[in-house]
Amino acid sequence: MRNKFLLICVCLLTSAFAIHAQGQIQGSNLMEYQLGNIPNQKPAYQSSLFDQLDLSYRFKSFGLDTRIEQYYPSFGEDIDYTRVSQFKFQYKSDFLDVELGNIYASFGRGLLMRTYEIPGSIWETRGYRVRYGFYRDLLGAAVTMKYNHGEVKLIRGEVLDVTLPPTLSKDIDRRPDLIEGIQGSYRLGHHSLGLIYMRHHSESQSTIDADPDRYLSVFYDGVLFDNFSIYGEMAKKLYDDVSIGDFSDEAAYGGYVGVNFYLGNFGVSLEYKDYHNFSLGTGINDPPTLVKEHSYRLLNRSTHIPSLTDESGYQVEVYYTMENGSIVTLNTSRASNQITDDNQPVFQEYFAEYQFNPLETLSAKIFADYAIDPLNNEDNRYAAGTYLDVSHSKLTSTLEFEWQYIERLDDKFSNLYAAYTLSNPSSYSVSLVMEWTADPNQFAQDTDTFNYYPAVVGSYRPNSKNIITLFAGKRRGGPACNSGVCYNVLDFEGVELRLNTRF
Amino acid sequence: MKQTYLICFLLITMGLVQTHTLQAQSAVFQIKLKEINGYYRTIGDLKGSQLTIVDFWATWCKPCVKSIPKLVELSHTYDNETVAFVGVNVDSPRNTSKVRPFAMSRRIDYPVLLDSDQALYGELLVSVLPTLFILDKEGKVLYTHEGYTTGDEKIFKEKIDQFLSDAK
Repeated sequence: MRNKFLLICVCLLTSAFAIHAQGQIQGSNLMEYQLGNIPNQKPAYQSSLFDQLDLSYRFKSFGLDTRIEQYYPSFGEDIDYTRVSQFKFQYKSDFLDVELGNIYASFGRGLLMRTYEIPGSIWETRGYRVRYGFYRDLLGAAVTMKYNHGEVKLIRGEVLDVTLPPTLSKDIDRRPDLIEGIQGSYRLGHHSLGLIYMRHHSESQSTIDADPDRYLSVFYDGVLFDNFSIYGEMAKKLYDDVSIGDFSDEAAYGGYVGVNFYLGNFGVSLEYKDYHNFSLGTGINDPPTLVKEHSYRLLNRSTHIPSLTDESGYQVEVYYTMENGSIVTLNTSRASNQITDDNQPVFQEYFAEYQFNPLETLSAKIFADYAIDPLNNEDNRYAAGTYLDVSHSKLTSTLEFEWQYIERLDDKFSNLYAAYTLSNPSSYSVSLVMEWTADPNQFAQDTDTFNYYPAVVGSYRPNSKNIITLFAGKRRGGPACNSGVCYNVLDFEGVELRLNTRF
Repeated sequence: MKQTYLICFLLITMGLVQTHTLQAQSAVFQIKLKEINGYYRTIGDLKGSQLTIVDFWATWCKPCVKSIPKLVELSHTYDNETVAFVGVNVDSPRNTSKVRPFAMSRRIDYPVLLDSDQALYGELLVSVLPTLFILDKEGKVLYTHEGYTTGDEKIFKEKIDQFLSDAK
């Protein structure tokens, strides 16, 4: 079986090269080798190799794309695999766009359905310990037709449940959600109005052979007065016995409004959400969360995952740019649900950042953050930090320092993160990273008073087509947000070698 | 058996790198995306007469944010008819509302396209952010740069100047 897959892989490559003279071919490859394990798990060192090869072929209006993934751990013979994990045919013209196979698509801003890929991410869970590419794709077809200012998009396919690894028994369906839908929109100048109708078939035990759920959504997307734009979408589940205008507790709906504008040196983004009974299938929808996605390590981990079953709230972000180029960013977000008292949010955050250049060779950022997160029993959460970037004659130094103080029930503790990076542009970089925590949930043993995570990360770019990255040390896992999606990352201790290649 | 697979893939990877099979990529010029100012454009609509610099970025990406002022500065050193700069934002719907004020605060004065459905991103097989492409007038990828470290903009300038010189 493995040889068969490998043969397919080689055949695809050979064929592609044989015909590339008549078309265009490009590809990329991600290979990662790990030697190590989750800290304190035995054996301390076990090895695994993951590889993801993407190939793309284009000839005039036609295209073929394929992804081949393989995983070979030194443990668990039953969890290794080599497989063609994605295949897509496409035809594209000015009026018609057709995609068949494993595709990425969405309706509106994702209130009803959104598929995505997290760039360069490899997914692994503690339960399965199988590594595979992190993407939620749709196996089916998408057809988009455009004529003058009108556009119609038809989508039918099964959405992948990314939490289930590819090595599961064939009896378990990794694509339990089938969606069929149509989105029509008409554009007039800078204004666009659209309507979406979607049917959702779920294969969960309770709904075998049940009629599909039906949803209707309407959206407006427009730019007003050049410096003011607005997006609003209202999606609702259709019932035979509930009026479309019914927004009571029994109804299922999702509403989102985003407004942004700029005036002189001010830029503002205002958003409001209201999601009620709107967690669809295994998570096929992905509406805007209205929680800031932080690039700072400790804040990124301390995020809030909205509950689509019942949550409403807002997010405001303000930018102010000074004449000397310094930028102030202020952000606040708040979320609540019907279970808690109106004055008690399930999450609230205030964030401020100042970015400036005190010297010609020094750029700096400082930030402060305060949040409350009752869902995680965190009554108060304070954070502050700095990011300094110093240019030397040929090299660049970066210094990062972050501090966080959390009050969780009877526990009061700190987290620290520090990193120093020395880099030679477009050639190599070396980072020394240290994380330290007094969080009792992170202790290896009950008698511990702290835990720490030292690491060295080096990267080398031999040419513009290859990047080699080496990690050695201990990495703290936990929630992480990337590309708008939050997920759990496993702790790791050992050595990790990654090779990114483009061709 | 495992070693065989490893060797196979290393050979394939090395072989692919050696083949240099980049060909014209006109499909890149055909994908229509919404610009932050509300217009719908393709890279083809915005291309330079000689080169087009396409930068993929996101608001949450630390090195992307770091590179933007340098790219804006670099874009001012060229005639935008000859060398056009285009930003492609790949934020998900989670952050889309922030992109326009964010871009304005960073004083990005070249066009920024929104690619939240990853259409152009997938077409160019982007896997790292930021990724910068230098395209020729036919849409062929001349140079790709993944990631950003302070000082990389000097490499970008050297490459642009080299490709402009080659085109003469």
